[in-house]
Amino acid sequence: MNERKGTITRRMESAFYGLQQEFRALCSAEDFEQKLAALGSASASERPSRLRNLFDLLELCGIPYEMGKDNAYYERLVHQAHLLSFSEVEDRMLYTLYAHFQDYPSPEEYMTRIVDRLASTKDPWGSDTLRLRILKQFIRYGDCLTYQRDWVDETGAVKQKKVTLYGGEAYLKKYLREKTKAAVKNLDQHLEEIGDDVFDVLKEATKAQKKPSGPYGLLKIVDDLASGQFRTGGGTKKSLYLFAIVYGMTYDSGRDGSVIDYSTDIEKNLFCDYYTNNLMRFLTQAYQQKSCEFEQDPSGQGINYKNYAEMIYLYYLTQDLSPQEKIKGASEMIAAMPDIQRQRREQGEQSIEPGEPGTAFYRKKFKHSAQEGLFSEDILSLPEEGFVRFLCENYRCGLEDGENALGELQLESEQRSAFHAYEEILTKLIPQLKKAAGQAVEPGYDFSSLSEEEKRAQRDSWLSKCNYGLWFTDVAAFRKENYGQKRQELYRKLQEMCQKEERPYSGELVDSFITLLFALNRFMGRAAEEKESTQTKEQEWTETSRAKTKALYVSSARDVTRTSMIVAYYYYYNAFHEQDGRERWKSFDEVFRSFSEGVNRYLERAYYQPLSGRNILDVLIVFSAYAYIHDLMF
Amino acid sequence: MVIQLSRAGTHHQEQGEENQDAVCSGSAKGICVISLADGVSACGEARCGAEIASRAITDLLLKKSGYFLTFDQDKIARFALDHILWELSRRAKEEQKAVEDYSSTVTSVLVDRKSRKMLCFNLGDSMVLAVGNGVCRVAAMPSDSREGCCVTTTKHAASLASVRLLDSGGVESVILCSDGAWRQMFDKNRLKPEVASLLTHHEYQRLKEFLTGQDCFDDYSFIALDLRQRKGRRTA
Repeated sequence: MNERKGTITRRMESAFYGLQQEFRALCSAEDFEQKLAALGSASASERPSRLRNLFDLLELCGIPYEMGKDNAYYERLVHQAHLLSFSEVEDRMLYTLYAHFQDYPSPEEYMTRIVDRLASTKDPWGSDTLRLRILKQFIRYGDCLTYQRDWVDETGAVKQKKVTLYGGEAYLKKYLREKTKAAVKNLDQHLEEIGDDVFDVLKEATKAQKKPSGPYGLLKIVDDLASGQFRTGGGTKKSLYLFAIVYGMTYDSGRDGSVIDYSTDIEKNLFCDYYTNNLMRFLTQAYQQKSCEFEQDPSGQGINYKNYAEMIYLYYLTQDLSPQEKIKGASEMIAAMPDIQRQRREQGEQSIEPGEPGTAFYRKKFKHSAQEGLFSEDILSLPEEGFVRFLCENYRCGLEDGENALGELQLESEQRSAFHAYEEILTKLIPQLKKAAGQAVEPGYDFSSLSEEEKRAQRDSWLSKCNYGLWFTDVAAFRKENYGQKRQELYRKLQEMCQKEERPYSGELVDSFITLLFALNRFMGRAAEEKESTQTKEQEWTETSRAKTKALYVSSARDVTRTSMIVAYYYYYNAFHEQDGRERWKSFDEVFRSFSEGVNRYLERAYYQPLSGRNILDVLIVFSAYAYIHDLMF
Repeated sequence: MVIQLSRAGTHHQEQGEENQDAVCSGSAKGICVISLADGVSACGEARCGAEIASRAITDLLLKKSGYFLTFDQDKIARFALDHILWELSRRAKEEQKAVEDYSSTVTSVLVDRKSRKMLCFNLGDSMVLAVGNGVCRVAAMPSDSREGCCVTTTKHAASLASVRLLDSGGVESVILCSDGAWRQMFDKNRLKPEVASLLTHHEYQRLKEFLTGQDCFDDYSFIALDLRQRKGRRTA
């Protein structure tokens, strides 16, 4: 194994796993007491497994022990060890989060890694800024995202017309002309002369100029890709596919003798790592300033297998063609498909009926359908004509009435499997909330005796109780003026811990950390920012907050996201453990595992990524659940 | 029949260092096991670690094949890795070194001809290919090594290992390849047509020639188990 790749041995753990491991080792005295109590009450047959649980905890905390001793030995061992109380664990956890949050890569860092890995060493722009490297790649390998289209004029002569996917070529030529004082015919020959100042025009550019067809459209998508700014309206997805083409990325079609090449795979690199709800992007200036322009919560769905345009991009991505040919082929086919399908339908050929079927059907058909006689490789290796026929017969390629505003990548963006799974979590959550309120819950509780409207109203009323957000720290309070002291206390605590551990401390870093917590709380709890209250203390305590958690009110399959599903499960998990005391004494490690097992059942059904210690959003939500179920005891 | 190749890549050759991959095989009572381990170059005793790991898993699978073909996958991974780690720790203790110095990936395949079952165990970025009916399939994918590869001394390695129990009916040969080898055999994510042809025709000698003819930076190894029945009548 090549040493340059590095490994995750016990000594050489990567930053991704570091936080998860540190969390696992944070066990409170109460965690140990529970294990000892369980050991004390164990029968002879139960003793080995109860001992194993205790040993696991001792190992996590680095406490040396001997096997085969009596209970008194283990009790002594635990009581002699310096163990943290739960509130100390909470402080420690907050500190650990603070100390490690910067280790989590931002989308920009993910993009840098992808570009570093995929760029050719022959291209001389390796030391340029990230956005400049991407721009030069688009110019050299994507012909500035333009291509020549053949057309036949009235005389029957074949002519060529230049098609521009993103405007920018004219501006780049002008920029070079001014810089070199010479005429520029071919941009590719002047790449070395393009500097990062080429992007300066974006600062003053109007919205229209930054549109794809505007003069700075190319610069804008490059800048967005480099800085991890996800645009609303499907714009990001299109640029990701074009990026994948110019960087020669691969797609695992599952054919015989093919593997997932993790370093070039589009799904793993762009859709799993980069284009997800990565909280770290909320620390970027762009997201802090203009939040409405950007996508707040990418669905996490990855490739939409029932969208014809995405299938066309995948088809061309896997062909043995040059990047320019792939871009041309994909763009031409995407543009032509609605007309082709309409014509075929008019000629009475078989075609898909609108509205059916769902993503799962296509995903199965495309990725795992060897038993059905159709394999993704069979589809991807079809000649163009055959692939067009396949799309006509299986995909909806045009817009329905009233869909004019949608781009081709927004077609069929409903995630029905995900929405069903999400709804199922909410259906399980409400009886738990009812129980917590001391109300009787009939078996199979589903509001079946009520009208649709009443059901909705009842459900909304119960869900409105789930708005407490993050449990381990009152994030909203940090913004209230009269809670300034509380904020100062956090700064002081973190400073003390940093000094103790000889870690660098900076107030700015704490500010960023709090911003991150705010970003998460926005998904998990009250959507509205809290203001200083004018009520008396008594009024504050008695009046229930009416603010709602947005993630619990997803009303359509188009809007469901991985985050909303995890947040819904978070409230279910907490409500369930309010009723069931058995889980209350679990260590963080055990809570992480149990939460993962539970939520992954839904995430997998929705084809979302499973819960991961690599994702700071996931880690923070599970820690909040851990804090919630432990707090119930005090 | 077992065919194997294990060579140092240009990096180690230039440094005057030995090949840090190890391959190993064994058979008993209709059970065949082939194993491959790829030592971590950054670790001082990588070669020794790879040898221990490949030998340990081969012996374990041969000795406990009956259990392994019935255990659930989690148990197999835990059992196998505990055993390897125990062997590595024993050597580390003897040599007064850290067990992490003996880190390697480990891949192993057990084939039971009688029950026609095949067990694939894979920890790390090596690969298992299975050839049958003129088709070459990936039986065990290499793991994601973008953020570092999981090895025998990785914490919670058992949860990162892949264990698959397959039907060996129709499988004519099984090939384990280290990442140094399969990266030469693949063009990005696709098996090179010339290599696919060699594999489907079971031309392992020519596969050796192909690999040794490449300018391979990393150490490269493969071990192939040819399961085809020899033709011809037995005579007294």
